[in-house]
Amino acid sequence: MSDPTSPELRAIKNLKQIAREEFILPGTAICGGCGGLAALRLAAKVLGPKTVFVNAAGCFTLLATFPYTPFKGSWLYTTMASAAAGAQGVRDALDVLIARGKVAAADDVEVVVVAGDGSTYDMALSATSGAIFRGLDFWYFCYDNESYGNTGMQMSSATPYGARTLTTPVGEHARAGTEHGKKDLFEIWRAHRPAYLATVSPRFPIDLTNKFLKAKQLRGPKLFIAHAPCPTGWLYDPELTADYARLAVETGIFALKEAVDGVVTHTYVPRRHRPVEEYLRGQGRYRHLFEPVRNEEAIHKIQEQVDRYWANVHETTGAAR
Amino acid sequence: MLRIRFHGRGGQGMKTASRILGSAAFRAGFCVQDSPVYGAERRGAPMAAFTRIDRVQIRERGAIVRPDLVVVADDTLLTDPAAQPLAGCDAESTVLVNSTRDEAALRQEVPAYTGRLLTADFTAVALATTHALASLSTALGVAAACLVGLSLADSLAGLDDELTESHMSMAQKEANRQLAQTVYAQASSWAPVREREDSRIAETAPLVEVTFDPPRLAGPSIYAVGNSPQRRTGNWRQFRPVLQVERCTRCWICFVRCPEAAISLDAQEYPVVDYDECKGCLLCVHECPTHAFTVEKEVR
Ligand SMILES: Cc1ncc(C[n+]2csc(CCOP(=O)(O)OP(=O)(O)O)c2C)c(N)n1
Ligand code: SF4
Ligand code: SF4
Ligand code: SF4
Ligand SMILES: [Mg+2]
Repeated sequence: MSDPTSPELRAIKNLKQIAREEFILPGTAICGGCGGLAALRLAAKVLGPKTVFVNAAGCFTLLATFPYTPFKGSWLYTTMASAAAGAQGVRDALDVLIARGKVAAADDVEVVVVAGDGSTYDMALSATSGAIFRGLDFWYFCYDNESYGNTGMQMSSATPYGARTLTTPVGEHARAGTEHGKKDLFEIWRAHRPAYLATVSPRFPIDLTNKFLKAKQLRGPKLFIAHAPCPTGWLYDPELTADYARLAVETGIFALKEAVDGVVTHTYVPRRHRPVEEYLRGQGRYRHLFEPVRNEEAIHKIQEQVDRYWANVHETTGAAR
Repeated sequence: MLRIRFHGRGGQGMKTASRILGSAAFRAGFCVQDSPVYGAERRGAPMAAFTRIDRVQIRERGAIVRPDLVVVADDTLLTDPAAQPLAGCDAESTVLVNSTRDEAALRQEVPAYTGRLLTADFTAVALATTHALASLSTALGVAAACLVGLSLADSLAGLDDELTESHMSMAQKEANRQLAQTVYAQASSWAPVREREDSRIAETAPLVEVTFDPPRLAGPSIYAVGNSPQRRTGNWRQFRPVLQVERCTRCWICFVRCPEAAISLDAQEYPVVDYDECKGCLLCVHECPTHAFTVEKEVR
């Protein structure tokens, strides 16, 4: 937790207030055009150098592969199910060492879990629930590429309805590919009443930066779900990553929001949502919804889910349209 | 037995090229094995794939150490220590390099290699026919099929097997078939790769004996900080973003959006691309509101 009165934590208003210093250096083995890395890089600019990243197995374990690391701080690798438990261990160890005077309080670091959706939504749900329940003072950054990406794009419970993955191929009995709907992790986490919870997008850097700045003033679990367009798994050209990040928000598929002590605010409400088709079309993982024949039913179903979500938002918040 | 090794970078489609060749040989009635190296590597990072073709069941497994044919997806790989495409090649090997440069120029880079070296600009042919870089897999898979002596019909059948499973549009599939025919015609001018006399003798990769070292030494712990730029991911790039300064309004957008932190800002807040690291995703080019970046194909 940083001093909330510090001017460095004031919300920013334009791009040029984003830090110029880098805290995740180039030269990693991550794919070119990775949306998750774009989001993490911006987050790291707020977190600064005094961090220890606790990283569950997934694409981002490739950030630090022997003998290279892009981090200016520390990094610890854990199994897929236990990053939050690892964070607890690191936090506890730091607290003990500080209490015994073996580490100066000024040398304390932020403990930041970095994990994919397969880890976060599936395998680590329980360990993370425990850490939030215990009120652990830590950060959690889930880069959601909506699949088990590192192993070649298998379905996770974050994979949206209609997306094709290796384990949910399109077939006679599964014309939409993935037939399940995406798990609502935001609501699952919110039910724990963490100190801070937010969704972020790499294409909305000011919104992202301000959310991290706000969280920096709070003690307790600070949880983030980052929309992470993935050219390799979603099958589109890497230069389009920011486009798909933008379209996800403008179509209303990905809602930018935060919850402080459980109270939800939508931080960006598009005046008029674009049709979901603009986001789906062009991504290889959704191509079967458009070719060789259009799957009207599936496209309609996706649109309906989005419309229902926002109708509910407007109803419960009375938000001005 | 014929042993073919493909070298590429993640995203260049060499795994698919190896499969196209494998399927084509299978269609022609051969026993086939094809497999990529599973590495934790990514789009742009060096990778390899192996194809074995024989008249009898293949019992050999693993990496190909003495290839008959090596297909190299771009010439930057020739001298890349992480790729080493010429490892195990000898006077009897054939190496096919996708390059804009001629044989003499390439030989200067690999003076120790004495076997046959073929080169052609398959990227240009692929782009002209399909407008998609991904079709390099079709071009090189079919070129390899032709080089090992498979017929055009079998090559196309092998390609079709792979296309059926792909997410490509119908029009793209058709364009890939056209590309296959063009490339096959071009590759027919090269003499086919011949089986070695001792080709049935199983290859054995040397066993590496692992010695015991204390965990602090042997474990993959990294004691350095921020040393990843030494990896030089700039050589992953196929296209290079080039700033046309006069069009730049210094809006910071490219700097903020580059996922790699490969763009910094100079004292006047103009963006500077670090070409040692930029992976060439071209996101900056696409995002710049004033179109201040142009794109140049990498020639190394
Ligand atoms: C318990 C366990 N099962 C399987 C694996 C193999 N594995 C390594 S990374 C990975 C994918 C992780 O998916 P996600 O958490 O979404 O991260 P991403 O790879 O998409 O970045 C898998 C399945 C593992 N490391 N541990
Ligand atoms: S597979 Fe996707 S999420 Fe993983 S590193 Fe590549 S682009 Fe990023
Ligand atoms: S996005 Fe374009 S105009 Fe803006 S700083 Fe970059 S190059 Fe200049
Ligand atoms: S092409 Fe542009 S956005 Fe992509 S890595 Fe290079 S500088 Fe960054
Ligand atoms: Mg994932």
